[in-house]
Amino acid sequence: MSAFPPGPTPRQATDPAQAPGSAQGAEPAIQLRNLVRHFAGRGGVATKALDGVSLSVAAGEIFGIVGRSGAGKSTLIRCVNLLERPTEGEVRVLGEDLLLLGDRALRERRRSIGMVFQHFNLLSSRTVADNVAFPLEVAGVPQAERKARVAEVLGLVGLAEKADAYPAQLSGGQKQRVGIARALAPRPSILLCDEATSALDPETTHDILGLIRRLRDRLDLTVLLITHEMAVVKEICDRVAVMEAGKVLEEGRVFDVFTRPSHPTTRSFIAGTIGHSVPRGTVARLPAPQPGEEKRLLQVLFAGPNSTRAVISEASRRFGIDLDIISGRIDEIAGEPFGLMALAAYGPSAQLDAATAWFQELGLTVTPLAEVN
Amino acid sequence: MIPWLSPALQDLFIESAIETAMMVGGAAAIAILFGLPIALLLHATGKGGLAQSGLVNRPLGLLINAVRSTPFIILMVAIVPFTRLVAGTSIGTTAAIVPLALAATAFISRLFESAFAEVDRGVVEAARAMGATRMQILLKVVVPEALPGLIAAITVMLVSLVGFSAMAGAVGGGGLGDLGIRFGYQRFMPEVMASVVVILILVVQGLQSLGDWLVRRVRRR
Repeated sequence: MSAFPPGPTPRQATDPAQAPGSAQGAEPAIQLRNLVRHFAGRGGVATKALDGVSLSVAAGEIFGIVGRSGAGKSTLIRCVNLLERPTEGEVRVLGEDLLLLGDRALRERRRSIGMVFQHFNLLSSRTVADNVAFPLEVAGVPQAERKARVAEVLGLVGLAEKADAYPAQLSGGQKQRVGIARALAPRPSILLCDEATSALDPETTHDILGLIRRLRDRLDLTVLLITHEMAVVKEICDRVAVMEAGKVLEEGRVFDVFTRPSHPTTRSFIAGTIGHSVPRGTVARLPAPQPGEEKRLLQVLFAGPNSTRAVISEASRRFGIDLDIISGRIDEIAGEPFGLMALAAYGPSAQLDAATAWFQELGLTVTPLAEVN
Repeated sequence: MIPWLSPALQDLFIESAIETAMMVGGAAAIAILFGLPIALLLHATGKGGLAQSGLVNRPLGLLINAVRSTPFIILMVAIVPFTRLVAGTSIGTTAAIVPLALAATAFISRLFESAFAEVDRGVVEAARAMGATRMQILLKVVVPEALPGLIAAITVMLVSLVGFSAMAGAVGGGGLGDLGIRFGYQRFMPEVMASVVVILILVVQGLQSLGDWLVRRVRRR
């Protein structure tokens, strides 16, 4: 993209086999241990926004926290820079326990943790340049230095020509670029993104996510983002944690969580992004099974070494069943390809069970197919 | 200037207009000077504020409400000893500025406070995340972001002060309102009363338009 000048030595795209998340031994950039956060609810009944959350984010990775609204992810990300203080637990950022710091030291540390917001939260009374200068001003950086740094980061996000505009004159995507520039101005090593693309249209979302990834590669940032959209996770995250009711349901490399989700909530999240839904009409038009046979609708996910094997025709021969391919496609997560196929299987129940088991032995994931209207 | 009035009355008009301007301007200046920090204190110590403290907020709020609920004519005579202490006298234009300023301070503190409450909480949160101190947040975020609201509040206060200043005649403060009462009403000179009313309407219109224009200028939304 032209908005992003080529850097001197842009880092190569992360090889998934050695994703930063799997780095051993190195101190995690962010480590949360057993975080609990109570909120005084109506009638004195306390609700738990966080219920024993532990996470660790390795330096240089993009870590996503996904969950529906009310899952506690917003509270969680606010605990990382202590905008919200956890009731219990430990918050270690760059090896330091933030909860032990006094006010002044905490403000100091916050400057090394940039934050980007869903609604941008720019000062409407300041120009773009003055907004970006704000964190530097607050930190007491001299004016000349401030000016140079503002120009530099505005160039980084491709908004140099908008320096003198006011936020109200910008589009949503441009506002978020200003938000990112502002977050990066004090040279943080960590970037927190609080639903940073949720107020943007899909195309702008794609641009902003691309920008965040390029900035991560170039500036060696650690990015922690929360979102309710699995598509965001699929597009840029290295690792992901799925949250519900203040707890982490599962966590792992994005490819693994997408291809082998272990929790029903995760599955329903993924269904909307990479899953197969077949229109009811299509299902209704499928032929009825022969007497003594059964019809099953299956979704088969191919990943890993067997993706290229001719499993469909082999299964058909081995088990004497008919497999009708309703639809199929190939997708990629974090650079790893996988195939997804919707099948109508016809045959005796026992043979269908056996075929399903055989698929699973081969490492394919077989799930019943979801129907939509 | 007002052709249907005698030259003597015309002079009186000019004199009265100057007195009104002094009372309104003086009281407004003092009210803004004191009202701004009071409103910031109310805002910061209020519920969910940057330095939440019922111990500060409640007594201060109570005091302001007490001043605001006292009818101005009563407030004016009730604080005569204080006026004498501050202005050296309890009669005249300067003396009238004291109760006017007191009433206006209480009034504008609340108006400023609600202008501060309008500031987007997200912006304040962003400033906290960037490591700003509470003072920096108040002075670099809350006040500039509330500026259009503050100007609108000042406009409302100026208009109210023009009205209040008419009562200043009770302590010999003079001004256009006093002129209207003494000549227009007590001496049965309806042309004086009408002139006073017309001029006050024009002044208020002018203030309002000026305020609105300024608000539009500083509002960047």
